Amino acid sequence: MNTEPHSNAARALLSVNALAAGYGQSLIVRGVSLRIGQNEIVTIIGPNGSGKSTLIKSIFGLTKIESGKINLRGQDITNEHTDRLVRMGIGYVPQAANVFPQLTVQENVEMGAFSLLGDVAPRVRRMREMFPLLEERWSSRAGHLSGGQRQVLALARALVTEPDILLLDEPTAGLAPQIVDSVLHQIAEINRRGVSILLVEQNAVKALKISDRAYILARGQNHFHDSAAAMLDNSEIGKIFLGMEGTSESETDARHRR
Amino acid sequence: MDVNIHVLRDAVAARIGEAGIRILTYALIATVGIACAWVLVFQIDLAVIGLLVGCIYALGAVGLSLVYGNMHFPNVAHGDYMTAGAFVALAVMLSLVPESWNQNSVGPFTFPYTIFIALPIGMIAIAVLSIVIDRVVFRHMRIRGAHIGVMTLGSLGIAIALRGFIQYLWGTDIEQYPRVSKKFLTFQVEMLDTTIRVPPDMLFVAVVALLLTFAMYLFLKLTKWGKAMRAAADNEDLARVSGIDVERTNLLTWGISGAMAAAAGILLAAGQGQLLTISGWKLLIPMFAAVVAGGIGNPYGAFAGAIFIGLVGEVSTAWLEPTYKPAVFFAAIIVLLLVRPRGIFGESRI
Repeated sequence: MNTEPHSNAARALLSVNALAAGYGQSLIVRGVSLRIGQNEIVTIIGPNGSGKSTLIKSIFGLTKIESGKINLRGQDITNEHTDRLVRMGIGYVPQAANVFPQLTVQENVEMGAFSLLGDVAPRVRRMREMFPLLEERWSSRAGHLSGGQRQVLALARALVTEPDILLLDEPTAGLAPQIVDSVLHQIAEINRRGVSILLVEQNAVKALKISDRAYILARGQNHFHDSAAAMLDNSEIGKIFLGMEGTSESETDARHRR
Repeated sequence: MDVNIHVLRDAVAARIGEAGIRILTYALIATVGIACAWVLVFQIDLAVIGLLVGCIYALGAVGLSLVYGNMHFPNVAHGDYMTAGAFVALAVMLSLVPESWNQNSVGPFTFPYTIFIALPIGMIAIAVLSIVIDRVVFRHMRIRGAHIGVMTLGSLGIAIALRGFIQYLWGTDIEQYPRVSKKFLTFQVEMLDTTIRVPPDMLFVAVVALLLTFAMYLFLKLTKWGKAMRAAADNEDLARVSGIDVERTNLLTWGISGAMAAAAGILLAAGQGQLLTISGWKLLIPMFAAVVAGGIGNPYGAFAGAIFIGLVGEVSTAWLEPTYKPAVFFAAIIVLLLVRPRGIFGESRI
């Protein structure tokens, strides 16, 4: 078992300390700690029901937090309103229903910038230039886009605020394998532009290949933590959590999901 | 409604087969086409009146549909918001402005200048009323996750209470809307050997209704908050995550739909020259019919549905007694829904 060195929290862009959170009476995340440094891609993996999505939602203020602290650049943001978090530089892309299907691609991107004050047109234009895939469909309704295009639009909607950190909840769920590669490539590209990324992924091996570090959660608690490269080399972790060498639980789940 | 229509369609298909349904549909389209051509040639005057009547239905139906799209329940009190708006405007004309102001009118119109003061005041008053009722009643039901049926019944309660309050204040007699006595004029256009006679008041009412609907369209399409309203109707959770204040978009929805309802009520009363405490309530059925015909929760569809109902209802009077108008347009809607079960434009698209 590897626990998080808390002394690093001050240097981290985002840090979570002993967070316990859930919905109503039920606690799903039970004392998770992690940190994301400047310019890092950090992946959270773990079996279904391990609390990955709940953790990411809790950071974005969408669940009931029982105890623990969340800090952004050393400032406490526990239980902060989502619109404030957006203005403070956090972007979030939910797993499902992450576009406005009846709105055009352009309007979707504009809605991402809703909580910003002043003229957002230059930022919206930058998103159009950054994602040629969207430029072609700029005036189409988002509901008419393919699955991969939707994920890219969801990324653009969150990126338009020019966040320091993006929280991505399974951005490749339900996508065909070659589209998964393209979406992960886009994520790596976004990271190269200086955006830190916290990624929850079922396609664990592919996600680790673009990540710096990774955390494994089990039953709502920290289970293991290491650099992504070391984790890919770790045969025991590979067997149990990454579905390498034979069929593990998580790989079977991933197949069922598709 | 949608489900029932599917059941009906399946039942018909089971008896006459899918090919039968297709033949029936083509026969129907041919009949409608011939009827349309016939109407254009011989009944164009009725068709024009139908269009104008449709514009008033549209103003009410668009607000009703907007609320359905954002709040996900049919607001039964919408008709009584119309009545309340018309009474507020009447009160303004009768007591807030000098009597002499009601003696003059513009051009060929028979309603006095004061309507231009009363209309915006009535619209603002009902926008505020609509927002207050949401804060006091519907918001609490929404937060507690009330079922659509409960919300609908709640709005029925509001409708009855509001009408009772208006009757308590004004009584149940017919109220005359101020009119300037003028020689009755009509705009006449010679077309296809037919003289189209349009009362100027009706033309004014239709044009204002069109302008207000167009203004709402521009607001929803071009402004930041208009787009946010559409976003919240489309995907409320994502709207919250994007930092949109959904409570405020709800408030805007109620405000706009209330103002539109008031405008519809006032224009209707001004067009007819009289007002009853059940005027709005009586329009609820055609307005709901327009909403369903256009695609539930889709205001543009509601507009098209209202025009459709106005046209069908008026043109039918060429053959039938006017009292059969509702029967005719409901029959037309059932046929329309058999062909397009989700309405003219499909559901919930703001």
